[in-house]
Amino acid sequence: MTDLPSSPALRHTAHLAPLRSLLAVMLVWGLIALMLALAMYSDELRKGRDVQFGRAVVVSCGWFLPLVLLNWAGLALFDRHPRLLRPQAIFLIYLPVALLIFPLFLVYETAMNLFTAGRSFDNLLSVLAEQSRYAWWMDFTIVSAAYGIQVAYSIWRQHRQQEQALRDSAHHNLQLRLTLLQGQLEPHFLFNALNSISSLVRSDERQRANAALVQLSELLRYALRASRNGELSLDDELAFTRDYLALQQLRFGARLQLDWQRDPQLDGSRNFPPLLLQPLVENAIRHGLETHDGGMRLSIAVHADQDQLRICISNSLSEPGAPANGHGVGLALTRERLHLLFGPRARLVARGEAAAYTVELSLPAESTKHGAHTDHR
Amino acid sequence: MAHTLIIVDDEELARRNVELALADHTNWQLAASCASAQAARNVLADKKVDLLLLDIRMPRISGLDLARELAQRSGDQHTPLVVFITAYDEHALAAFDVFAIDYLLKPFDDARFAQMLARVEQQLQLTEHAFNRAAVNHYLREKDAQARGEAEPLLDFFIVRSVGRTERVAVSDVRWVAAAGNYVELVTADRRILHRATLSQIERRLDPALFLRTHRTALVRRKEVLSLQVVGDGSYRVQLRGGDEVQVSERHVEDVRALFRET
Repeated sequence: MTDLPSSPALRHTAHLAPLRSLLAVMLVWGLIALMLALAMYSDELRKGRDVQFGRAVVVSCGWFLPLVLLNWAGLALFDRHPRLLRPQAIFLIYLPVALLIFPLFLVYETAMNLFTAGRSFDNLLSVLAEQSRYAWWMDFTIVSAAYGIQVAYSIWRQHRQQEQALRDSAHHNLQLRLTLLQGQLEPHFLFNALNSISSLVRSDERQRANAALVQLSELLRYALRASRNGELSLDDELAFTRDYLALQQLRFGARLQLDWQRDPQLDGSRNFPPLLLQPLVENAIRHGLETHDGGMRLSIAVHADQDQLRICISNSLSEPGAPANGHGVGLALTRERLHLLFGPRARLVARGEAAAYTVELSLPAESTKHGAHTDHR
Repeated sequence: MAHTLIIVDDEELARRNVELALADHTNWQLAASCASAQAARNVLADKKVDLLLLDIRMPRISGLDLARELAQRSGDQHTPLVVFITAYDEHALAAFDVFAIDYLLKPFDDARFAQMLARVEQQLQLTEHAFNRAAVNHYLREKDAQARGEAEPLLDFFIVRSVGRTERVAVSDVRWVAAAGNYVELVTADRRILHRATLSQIERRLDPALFLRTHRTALVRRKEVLSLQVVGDGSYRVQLRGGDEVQVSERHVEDVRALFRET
């Protein structure tokens, strides 16, 4: 069986590396601090005061340290919880920033000023109260702007990730289709089927030979239609499965026993993902019939259950508890497709019991869209 | 006296197909039609058969497993000739060609079936059972190495199907190998022997320390190379000891130059 491409939908999106994001934030604020230091330095020079540039840089970096932490925490928060990047959540988070962090920032700034001036912290609060309201407003604006710009960056980043995920998903879907198609036109099955027909021709059984040829061409026709992304119905899929099994019966004769059950009220014209059942049926044959000399009973049941479509594929086992290895790839493939198409609304359950191996699919009742852009929230 | 064969295939229609095709060949007789390798073993325990037509993919014991058992029998025990039947197996087919193992692809027409039987008859006439066993052994040895993830064993000799007979060509006798479509020519001191295999398939199984690929169409024994020359239109050629001139492509010129630096 061909290799399965791994699904981006099932992989974790890459998270921000904490150390790298801290360094990036520090770099940005460092540049701002540098510019501020330059400004202060030039001001002091013009006033004729003696000031060291290096000290100015250190001091201004110190001022912005809380903002570095704020931004770093903000980046981490929105990276892990991208759902918070909605207007209500953004505003709700802004409130503690404005009401808590801003006052703390003020206190910190005042303390820093006292520290650099060499004064004591004794009357910190009264110094704080005496600060110009203009300075308060500046600090408030800086804190809010820092928050706002960081949120904007997080939104932009998330947007990019979503676009990439969408692209990956579309690409992945295409690969899945191709993989499926390769499975459908599985050479071993194809050539063996042709060989069976060749035998019928030799023994002059024209009817059976022609019937088999028609079944085979129907298979190919269906596979071609499926590859063209067309909308195909449940009836189409079941017809395909019948033809496929008919050809397998040609190969295995009485060894393969079939048992079909179908809810008569089921609307067969509803949309159905093409070739969804094929890997499962192929598995049943490969592991239930090709592994031993005896026979196998394969039952396929299709039922509607309120708003769900339920399909049950069950094959008898030659040995009780025959392990499910090898079923793995076909099941994984089908699960992936279901997930891509329906998200959590579809289910696949595989059970290995003593006498039989059963796979149960349930799909939502409404029509499916073939493509990667189904919104599953 | 008619030649006898056993068909081994788990699919009934596939067995019938062979039986029907055999009906046109009166000098052949179906000794048994077996649905499994086990059944074939039982038949072989009692009867001496000329040919075993073996389906490769079968449940439980595959055709290759049975072939392995037979190939490992000692030389004085009678073993039937083995021809594999397969629906599809790209890798195996390439290897079969290299080792001169006969095979039949499913589905087959009367002409191909007849061709296969004719080759078998020739081998029977010349009692080339040993070649067949050696070929199957070679192939299985390689396959086992692949399965274990080890490097494939290198060849010491080729088994080559020539007109009218099968022969062994020692690798040590081969000076260089030329590609010709689906075939190669094994060039020895006095002959050019046609062998059905691609050059790349051959190259993989020869020691790269002994042989150097100089061109898409040529694989040369390093010791045979005398000199590298540039020809009028700017392309390269190597002159070999035996007098042959072999093309060298842009891709491989550096490797050839490296040869001279080694000495």
